[in-house]
Amino acid sequence: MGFRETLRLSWSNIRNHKLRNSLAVLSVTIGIAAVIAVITMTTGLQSALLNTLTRDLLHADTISVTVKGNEGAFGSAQVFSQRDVKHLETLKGVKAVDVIGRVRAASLYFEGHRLLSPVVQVTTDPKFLPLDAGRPIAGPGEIVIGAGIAQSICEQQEQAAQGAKADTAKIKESCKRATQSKLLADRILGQPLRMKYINAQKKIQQSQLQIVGLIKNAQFLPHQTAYVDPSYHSDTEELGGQAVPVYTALLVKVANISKLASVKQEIEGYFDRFSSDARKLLGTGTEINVHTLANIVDEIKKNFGQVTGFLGAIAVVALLVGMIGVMNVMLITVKERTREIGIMKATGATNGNVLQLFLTEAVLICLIGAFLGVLAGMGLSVLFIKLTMMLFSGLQSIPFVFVPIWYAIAILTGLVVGVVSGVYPAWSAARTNPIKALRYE
Amino acid sequence: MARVVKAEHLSKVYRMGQVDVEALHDVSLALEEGELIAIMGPSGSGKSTLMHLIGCLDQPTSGELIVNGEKVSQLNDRELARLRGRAIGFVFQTFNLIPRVNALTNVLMPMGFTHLLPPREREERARSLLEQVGLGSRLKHMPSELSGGERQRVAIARALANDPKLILADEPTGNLDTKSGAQIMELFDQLNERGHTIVVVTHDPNIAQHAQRIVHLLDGRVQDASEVSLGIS
Ligand SMILES: Nc1ncnc2c1ncn2[C@@H]1O[C@H](COP(=O)(O)OP(=O)(O)O)[C@@H](O)[C@H]1O
Ligand SMILES: [Mg+2]
Repeated sequence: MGFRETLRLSWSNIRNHKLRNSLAVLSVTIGIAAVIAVITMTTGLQSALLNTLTRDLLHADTISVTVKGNEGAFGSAQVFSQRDVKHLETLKGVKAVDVIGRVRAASLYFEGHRLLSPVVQVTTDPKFLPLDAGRPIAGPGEIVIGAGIAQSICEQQEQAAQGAKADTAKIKESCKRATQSKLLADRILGQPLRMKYINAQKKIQQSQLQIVGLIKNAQFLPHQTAYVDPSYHSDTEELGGQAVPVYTALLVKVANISKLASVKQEIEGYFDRFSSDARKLLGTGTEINVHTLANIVDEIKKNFGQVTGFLGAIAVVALLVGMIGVMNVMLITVKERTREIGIMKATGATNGNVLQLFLTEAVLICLIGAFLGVLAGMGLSVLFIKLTMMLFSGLQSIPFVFVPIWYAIAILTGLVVGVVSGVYPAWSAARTNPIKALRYE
Repeated sequence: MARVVKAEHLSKVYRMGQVDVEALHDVSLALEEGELIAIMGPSGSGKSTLMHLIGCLDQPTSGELIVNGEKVSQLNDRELARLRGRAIGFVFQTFNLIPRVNALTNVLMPMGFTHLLPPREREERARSLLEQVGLGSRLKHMPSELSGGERQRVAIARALANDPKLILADEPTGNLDTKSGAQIMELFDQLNERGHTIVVVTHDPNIAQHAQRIVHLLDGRVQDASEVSLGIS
């Protein structure tokens, strides 16, 4: 039978039993929608989480290069040169290389009192530190500070306000709590800080700075570090008969997070050789750490993979139930149309013609179901994303991950489900004895 | 004249659980091309069974059957379907139209099975067949919107879809009033004049009068002409 006639006969039957066939379509729709929704949502969430980690918090796309035993707030041993930076920039997969340096012998004063233990650094990567409030430094005369420093300033402010009878423990407590909220920012942004440091001429110098930003208060970010303009950095080493600036750490950004491991290997190779300035300065004894978050990224992906697998399995069960639904409807249809099968065989239909007719019908139902399922799945995902973002205001955006190939696969799955659910009913229809079929009431 | 059907010593036994029902017993019959014959006999005498065998819908338990030059017992399912589609047209007592599709689509269906005509020409043929049976204005009507006589005429148009040599009509007027029945028989007469070989099963002697020959069945056996004339009818 021609494809058009088959389609016409199948369609006329589907239309003739609207309710029953709509329910069959719905059962496939639910299954496919569940699968699409699960994939879209978990991929979206994973991508959101990785984005957050990558861009804002952990810099998962960044490889940090430090000297071993010298990592705390990136330490003070300054061994990496601009020549090292230039070389790393030529490596494949590297997007950018920034430096972190330390302002030599820097100390900070708030209203004449020295703040304990801050480390003042510079970086050429303006986005290196996420801020809770304010803005990044735009040039000399500005400083952004960590939560620990902010807390110290808060304590000094309170001490000054309350005078001699102040309860130090209480103040400490309330200032610590203040760092968790936005209140502190209002009090501290715009405040002046004085920095004493050693400049390029090896002279002690004082500089008046204004606090323009607060570094995000997160466990894994340095609390006692402040950042100023790179022009305050002055450390040099004699290399090749010349004084060249040296830095405490390098930040290597990769273009693609999945290339972390290979780029890491190349960096390690470079610093093993004496052609690198850092190795020249350190000699053989000291290790250079090349640190990535590849493990964490892998872990996250693995966990999401497990969640996707688990939810996916549930979705697949839904799809299976849908398949059984279609099969059931097809069995009823075949039974009901036994006489029709007899008529078709009497007028020249082969078993193949009959098989084709019923298979087409099952596939048609499932394709419609799959198509609607894709739409419903996309709709569900959008809804879910909106809901999640409403509930967790911290996540700035969960992307709607649109991958056309999934939808193609979903439609293809519909086709397969149609064939699988239709093959037995269609086969039993094809085998029907024409005489019995014609006598069937 | 060529022989369209040659049946020799056909018998058909249906197995009903433990009991064997012999629906046909040693039936021999030949149909020449262009014949219109009637098969008569009381209910249960095996008329439908014989039609089903000739129509290649079922295989005889024993005996030999040649339809359109082919030994039916040697054909596989596919070849039987092909023979049914191309050489035989069925007309049933209960019309047996596909209720969900209109008259035109019903007539188109058998053409889809045989592929004798290219798809574009099929609709034209279906239209002209329906016009021939006087239903040119009912093409898009659903079976439920047609009278019994009209439905049977759609069924005849469908039987003619692939221009078969042999038309098998099993009590085609059984569910019709006298007038519609007469129209149907007129149609069969016309078709017979145009060369179709036609077998009509009927109870109605008036209908049987259209036939050139009458075969009487009783309890699955063909009766001699002498037996019949001695009989009650
Ligand atoms: N598929 C079948 N299974 C069992 N018995 C059948 C079957 N078809 C017909 N018979 C029996 O065979 C006999 C002849 O039936 P049938 O050919 O339909 O007679 P008719 O058409 O002359 O009324 C009847 O006794 C009927 O019950
Ligand atoms: Mg009968």
